[in-house]
Amino acid sequence: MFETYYPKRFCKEFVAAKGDSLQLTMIMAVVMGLKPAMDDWVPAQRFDAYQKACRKYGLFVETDAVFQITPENNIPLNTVGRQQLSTTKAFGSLYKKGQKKGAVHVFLSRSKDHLRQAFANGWYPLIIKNRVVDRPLADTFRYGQCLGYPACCIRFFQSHNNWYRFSYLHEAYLNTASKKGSFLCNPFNKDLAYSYIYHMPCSYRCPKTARWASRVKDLITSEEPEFARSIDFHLKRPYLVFYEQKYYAFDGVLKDRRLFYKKAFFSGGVKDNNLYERQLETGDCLFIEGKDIVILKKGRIVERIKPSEKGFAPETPFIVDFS
Amino acid sequence: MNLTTHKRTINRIEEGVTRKDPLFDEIARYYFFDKKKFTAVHKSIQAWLKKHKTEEAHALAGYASYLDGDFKGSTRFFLKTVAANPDNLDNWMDLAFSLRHQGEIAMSYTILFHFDLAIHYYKRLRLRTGDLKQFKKMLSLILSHAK
Repeated sequence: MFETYYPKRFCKEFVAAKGDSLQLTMIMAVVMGLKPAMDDWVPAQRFDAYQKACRKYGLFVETDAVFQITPENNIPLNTVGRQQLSTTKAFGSLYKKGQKKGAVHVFLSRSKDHLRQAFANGWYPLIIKNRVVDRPLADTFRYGQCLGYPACCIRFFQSHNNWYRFSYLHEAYLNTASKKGSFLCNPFNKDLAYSYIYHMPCSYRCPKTARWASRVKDLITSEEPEFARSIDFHLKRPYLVFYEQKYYAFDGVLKDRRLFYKKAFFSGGVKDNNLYERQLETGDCLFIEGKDIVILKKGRIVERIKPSEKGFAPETPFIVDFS
Repeated sequence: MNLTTHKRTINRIEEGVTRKDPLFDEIARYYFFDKKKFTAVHKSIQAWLKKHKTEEAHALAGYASYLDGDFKGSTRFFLKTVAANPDNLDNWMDLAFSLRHQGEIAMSYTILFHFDLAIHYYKRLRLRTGDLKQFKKMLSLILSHAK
């Protein structure tokens, strides 16, 4: 489950170049003109091969800073703005052609104008000379448009992307009328390739997101049908969500607010966030009580997960079913 | 938002704060969520700029231009804020992102990656102008030196 996917033909060069299939569906969407632009992270020593793949598929590519991704506990405590870093924690440096270390932040598009817009608004917070250097909020607000995200989702993001006040993903859940998600609007595999979207939608049944994802699915089905089947398989299941990049997919069934399962998979992408896999593996059923996750095995409580209640990144766990 | 009482606080590197002036983000929220309010604030800024050629007035005018997508204008204003107060890191960061939008990537990078050197040499060379050409030359030298 959630392993690297190797296309038979279409865009296979990108997977070969990067060594992984992260954002493969988005690369395909940009190549086919469905998505105006995207950004990606490429291991520096693999950038030449990646650039070659971009040329083959008619994409313009622009490099930005080099990221040295780092675990939180490797960031000196006296780093100015340390507490503001959210999902991405990295030291930044200038890209030098031929360098071998780090991941190059790049922007891709079929259009030079779209590329320019994405680049201009697409700076990520980086640690430079012991200080977090971040872009103006205006750029953050504009960036979603550059990446082709639906206007309603951009608006929702502008209102709810505040790690001190909200759990964005939970707010999207509250905004989902029936509380049952459409697999087309499932963002929880986006860091592992098996997703038709890369944005966090305003609800898990957002019509605009579903329409766009459906077009991406049709495109992939026409070029790599096995990949599309695999994506559907990975998406159509229940998820237990704690916070951004901290969620679990299940082989299971949601019934009367209880999730009966055989297996749990961490799909959050950032290994440091995988705090609960061991506990989840002890059970075959779970439900939410208050904010706690109660885990049962053959009808008996075996574990209780108490999520983080710190002021930054407050966790409100929920279960959403995309099956 | 009372522009007449607003006093821009200097954000010196050594004080260890990412940003001191919250107004750029506040005005951005008006721009994206309350266009009417933004228009009113923009008018106030323009009126204030006519009477006061201060760091505060130029910074606010820079924010308004930036949000309106006039990056040539915002760069011009942020060059003035840097000239008025080169110790204020907020001025430099605003300028760096304005230059990024203008496609002046080398200049932008010099500030983003070498903000300490930019401030040091700007003051050492006693540059006090808003002249982009002279500024570009200085940043280019910094980038070569830093390499």
